[in-house]
Amino acid sequence: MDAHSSCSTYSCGFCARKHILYMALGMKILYISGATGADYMADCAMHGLRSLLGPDLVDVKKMWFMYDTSEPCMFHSLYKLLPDIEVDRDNVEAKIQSRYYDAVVYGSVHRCRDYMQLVLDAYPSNKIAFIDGEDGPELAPAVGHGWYFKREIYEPHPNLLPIQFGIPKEKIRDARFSHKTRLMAHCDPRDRSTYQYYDSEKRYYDQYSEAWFGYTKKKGGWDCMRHHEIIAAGCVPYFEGFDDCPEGTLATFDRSIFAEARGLCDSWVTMRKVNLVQQ
Amino acid sequence: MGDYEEGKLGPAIDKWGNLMEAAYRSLQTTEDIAKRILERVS
Repeated sequence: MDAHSSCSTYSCGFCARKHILYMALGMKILYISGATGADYMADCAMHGLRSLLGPDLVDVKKMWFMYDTSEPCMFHSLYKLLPDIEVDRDNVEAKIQSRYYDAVVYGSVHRCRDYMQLVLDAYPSNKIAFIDGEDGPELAPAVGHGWYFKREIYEPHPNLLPIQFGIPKEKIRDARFSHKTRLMAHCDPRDRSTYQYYDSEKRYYDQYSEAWFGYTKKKGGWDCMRHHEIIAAGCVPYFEGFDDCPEGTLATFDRSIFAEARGLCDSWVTMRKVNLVQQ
Repeated sequence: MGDYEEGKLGPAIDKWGNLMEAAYRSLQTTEDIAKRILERVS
């Protein structure tokens, strides 16, 4: 029983959102992407939508790399997880025209805009979502035609909704103090020679689980799977340069964490507490 | 949160534990992303 079990009013934001989600769970969603793989934002969204909707999330170009039947992948956290269930991918154009799907999501709007004119002709803009997970601030020519979710927002814009990477919930580990053996995790984006974990997701997560802090920074974009993977492994990110991150980017992160984490880690080094935490 | 017990390992570790809990709260799952999209198009 939660605090809202006796409340079901639309004046309550929590309950209104819960009601909208309940209605949404019966929806059929057409998910359009190039299905090229390792497009993290598109792949995160697809994983979440399929997890909630099952076969009612139709990846019209089959995102084969998301399924447990696919070949091993060098990238971690998102791939080969979903059961390869039967999904009806037939007669998509006719189904768009008849609005068989309740809504259409473009998973990577810069890279794939298949069926665009058909979709715009058949659906009102509030039933179309565009996901822009690119590293830079450039916008695709879809702004204003639907809900535009943007990962890297550098300037406030009235038509952009922030979005960022996420982690499949089954990947999130408890932090275990008794497993900590290092101050800083081995994998370090400043040193490519430490990228030694492509062959094993377990080893990759373990080296974060065994550390108190994991170094991370902006690379192609401010948002990076590494930040999320560090936390999912039960490790605190040591995020260099986060003070310069635009406010619209990485919007769900509590910004105070990173400054405090750097301060704590630096103080441990200064106070020679490294031995304490490496015991 | 795992085997963490506040006060057991000293204030520095408690501070780390508080940061870890705040980081977990900030962490978004793929289902959270999906819900944000569904809330808009539903």
